[in-house]
Amino acid sequence: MRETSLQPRITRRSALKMAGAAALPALIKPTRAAEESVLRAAFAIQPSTLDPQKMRVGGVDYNYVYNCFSRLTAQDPKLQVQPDLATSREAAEDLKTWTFHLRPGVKFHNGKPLDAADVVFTFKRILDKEVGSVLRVNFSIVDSIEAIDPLTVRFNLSIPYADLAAAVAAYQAAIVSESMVDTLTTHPIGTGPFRFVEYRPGDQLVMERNPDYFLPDVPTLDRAIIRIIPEFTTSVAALESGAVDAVFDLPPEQIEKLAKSIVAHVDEVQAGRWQGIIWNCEMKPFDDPRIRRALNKLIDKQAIVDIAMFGHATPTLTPIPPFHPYFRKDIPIGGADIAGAKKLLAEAGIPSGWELEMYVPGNNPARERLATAFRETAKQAGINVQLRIAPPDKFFAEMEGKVRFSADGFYGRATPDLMVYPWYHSSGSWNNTLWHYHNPEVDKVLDAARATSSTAEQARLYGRFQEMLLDDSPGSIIYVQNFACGVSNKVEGLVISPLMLMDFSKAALTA
Amino acid sequence: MPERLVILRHALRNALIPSITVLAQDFGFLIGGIVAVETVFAFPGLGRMLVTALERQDLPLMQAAILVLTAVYCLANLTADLLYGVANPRIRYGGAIDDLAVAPALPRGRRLPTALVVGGGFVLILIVAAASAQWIAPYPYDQMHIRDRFSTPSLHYLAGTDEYGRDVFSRLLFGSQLSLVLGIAATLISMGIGVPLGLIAGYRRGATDELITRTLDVMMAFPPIMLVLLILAVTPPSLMKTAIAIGVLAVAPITRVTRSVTLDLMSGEFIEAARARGERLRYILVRELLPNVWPVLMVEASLRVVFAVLLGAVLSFLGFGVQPPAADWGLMISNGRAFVETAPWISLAPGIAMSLTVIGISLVGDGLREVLDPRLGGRR
Amino acid sequence: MAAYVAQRLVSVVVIMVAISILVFLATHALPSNAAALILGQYSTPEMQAALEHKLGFDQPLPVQYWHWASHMLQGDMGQSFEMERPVAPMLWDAFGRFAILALSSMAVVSTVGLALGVIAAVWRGRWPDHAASVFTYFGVSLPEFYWGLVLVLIFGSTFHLLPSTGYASLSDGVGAFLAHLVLPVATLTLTLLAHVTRLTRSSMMEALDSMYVKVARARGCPNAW
Repeated sequence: MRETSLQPRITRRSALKMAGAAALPALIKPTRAAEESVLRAAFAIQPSTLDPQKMRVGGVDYNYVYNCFSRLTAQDPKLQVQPDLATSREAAEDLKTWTFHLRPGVKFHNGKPLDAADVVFTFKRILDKEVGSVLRVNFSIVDSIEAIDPLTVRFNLSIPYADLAAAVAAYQAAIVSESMVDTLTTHPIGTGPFRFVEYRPGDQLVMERNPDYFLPDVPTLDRAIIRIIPEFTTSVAALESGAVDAVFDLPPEQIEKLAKSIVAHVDEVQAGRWQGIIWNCEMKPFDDPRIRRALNKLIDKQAIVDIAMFGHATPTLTPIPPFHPYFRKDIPIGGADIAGAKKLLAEAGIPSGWELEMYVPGNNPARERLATAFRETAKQAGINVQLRIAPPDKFFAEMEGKVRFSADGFYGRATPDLMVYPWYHSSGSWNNTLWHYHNPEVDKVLDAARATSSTAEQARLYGRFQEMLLDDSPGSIIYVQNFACGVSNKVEGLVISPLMLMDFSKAALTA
Repeated sequence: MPERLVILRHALRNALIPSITVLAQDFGFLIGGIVAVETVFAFPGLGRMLVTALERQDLPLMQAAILVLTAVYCLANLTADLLYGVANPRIRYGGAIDDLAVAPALPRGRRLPTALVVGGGFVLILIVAAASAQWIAPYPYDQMHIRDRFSTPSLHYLAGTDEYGRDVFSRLLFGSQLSLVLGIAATLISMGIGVPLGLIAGYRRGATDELITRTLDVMMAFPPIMLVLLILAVTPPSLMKTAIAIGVLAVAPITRVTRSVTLDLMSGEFIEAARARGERLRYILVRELLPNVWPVLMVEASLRVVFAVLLGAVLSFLGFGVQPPAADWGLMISNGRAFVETAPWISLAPGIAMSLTVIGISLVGDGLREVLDPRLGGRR
Repeated sequence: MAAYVAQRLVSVVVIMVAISILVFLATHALPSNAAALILGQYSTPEMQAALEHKLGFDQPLPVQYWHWASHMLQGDMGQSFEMERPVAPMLWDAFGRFAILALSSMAVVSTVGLALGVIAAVWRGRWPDHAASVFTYFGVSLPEFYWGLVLVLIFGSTFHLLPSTGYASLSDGVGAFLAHLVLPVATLTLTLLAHVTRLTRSSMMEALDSMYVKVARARGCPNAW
């Protein structure tokens, strides 16, 4: 209890006040069963849907799925593929046939045993156009899936693909059962360490321990609750007062603040989520490579990292993040070359004072700072950037890929192929919706890279890829931002993964 | 001593009734405030659900939320009207409801000059600052001094710098332009539409009046924030669009006030005389009615400007208002809230500026009311 | 009186119908393509058309309105596009919480506002009057999110006296529930106080003055308070 001011006498009123104030904290903390350990984590965005195959939003969606469902494989914090539902796997020599062996004895939360038919159903669902899963394009290389026996699944691909094991670790590939599809959005049933209890939109999502989980001694918590708290001032205050035990995905301003706290700390890792500036190569004037080069020259990545993320990010060349073994450390990431940019713009016939609208999805102060910082540099080159900040969902539905100039960001992906192919290959799904970049040389390199199982060869090819984009690119990938979570000092074993995950399974609360 | 208590008790009984009817009216403002409060405090209520539905364009949720909120608002208005009917005997016997849109504001007993002088002083400073921002501001509003970001107020940066190293004081000055433009534009729009409508409704009576009043009722049935959110969720926001949205919102109260005053004036002889002279409608409206309606309108206008400034700030906070890097005060407060413990001046300075502006304009409105409308101002 | 009430009720019904039409039209006039939104960016025009048919979007507007309105009246609010669960339970949940916040705020505003107004009127011209005016003026001069943040920072962050989030379900205990409500209600009260206080003050003063005049006249001499 804080000190009140010195009082000459203790009157009855002040005594009552002090007693009341002392009692207040006791009134506020809800009394919980002494044995139950409950972890409450604050997320700023609510899940879009509870159906794994239909998930679109990252972050909170993924965290819920990770805890309630399982996938064939999982990626650990070092991005290495680990078994999850599939204890082992083989690929044929030509990398076109993959066989996964399922773990025996796995049960869904309602007791139904997991078998290969469920896996086949899940992937058929992913490939179903009516379901509209964002994974559909990623798995378009799958010709067929079959259940060889109740514990074996075989994938037959149309082309050789080296990283299928990592690809099936995607959250939207969480295994569901056909018999439970109808209640997937109201009462989802999976095979994960936690069972779904209830979801009150805008309020919280409650999960409880799955006693039949296939790994022993996991999870240690009795309950895990995802609380939706949109305002970070509020959620950080709640963390400091003990009302929540963790805060997901702290923005850089709050990282500084929590670093000074005595009751909580910040766990921060480098992650693959990237932010960039996008120009649509099919819309004038960005079909002119000189203008694309000019814009690249206008971007001082380190300066933007300082302004937008207060240093909690790392400049990068492409979506392949600096901590990845394939990243080309030898390529310098320099500052802005205003004079060079002006020259190129003049050559391309752009007059000084060119008005350029830049669309930015909102709800992200760091991204707004990124755009504002760019605007400043652009001004020096004679470009007048007008910022248009739109609500994120509106931006993604109406503007992404349809406007000529924007800022955008994407969550990290599991493998270099998944990080890069959809955006840079001519047939890539994101390429054809976002920026329409067609470079046959790049296509060749990316096709070769996904077909080889040699790490050395892949490193060489992706290294070449990063070099090729220096000259001409459909956008500038400015930085990959760190993933930071605020965690109460009372929590142990909460693992923060670069895949934007808070792993509850081994977390425990100390007294 | 006992006599005083007796008087007090009687007075209390008489005073409470009109106050209670006002409470039900405040419900409209309450709904607007609740949306912002639910966001700040992570309170999972209907306001929050509506904003999320608007952002995610979730049609069924949007429709249901808007309908329920509007129904609640209507019910509150109905309760207010019924209570007022109970309190006011004229209604019981079939009269019309007086317009309470022009709320009694200034506590009586304060002498006239003070409110007008003090408020007028603030407003004058504001107008001068806004008009001369270009010349007196030490720095351009968007000039970033990265090395000096988060500086405390000093001689270099009178109100410190923000997260980009921009001078907060200069931004305050330029922001005054935006607030003034928003407030004045919104009010001009609402008056430009509302005054003629009200004049016509009051003068013509009959079917025209009925039509206009019924439309007004429907418009006023929407909680204020809803209408604006709907409009701004549909088109990309900008200063002018925000002003138009708020202006359209304010048309209904302005029309009501104008109509009510016009109705009062219609009983005056000078209107009859003008008609007898054969003057045309436009002449009567503009030369006879309008000059007499102006005083009340001025008072109402000051309320509307304040309302526009505050609503503009809330919209900026929710993300539907003016765009960065504009030096809008609401946007500055909203962006500064992440740094409020390390660099409180970023939010504090625009907060104080907004507070003084609102208080100043309110005082002017109150002072005007006393000068121009002695009936409500009081002989005291 | 009864006629008046009946008349008002009828007009409310008419207004609600008009509003339902307006809301329906406005939301359907939104430029976004709902089917594209639901199916995601890789959807083809055929998929969108199929979904639109399933949702009934290809029928004429009045028919759609009729479907929607009649379902609404029966309590069926449809299914959320994004979350694919029924709207009605979520909505009434949220409405209940909203109602609690709104009603408690109104209750506090009424009590505090009336009390302040009476105090200001009884001690008019003296410091309680001025203090009340200044306090309420400040409350109303800033938007509510500003006060909300100030309160969260003071009571939640710095002094840990009150919870910073506004909601704790009743299952956590009545004490917790009420404690969580304190800050949001306080925020709303601050911003609404001015109106009520001022009105109470002026009507209280008017009532007091007229009472005193009556009493003085009854005594037969002019009196001042």
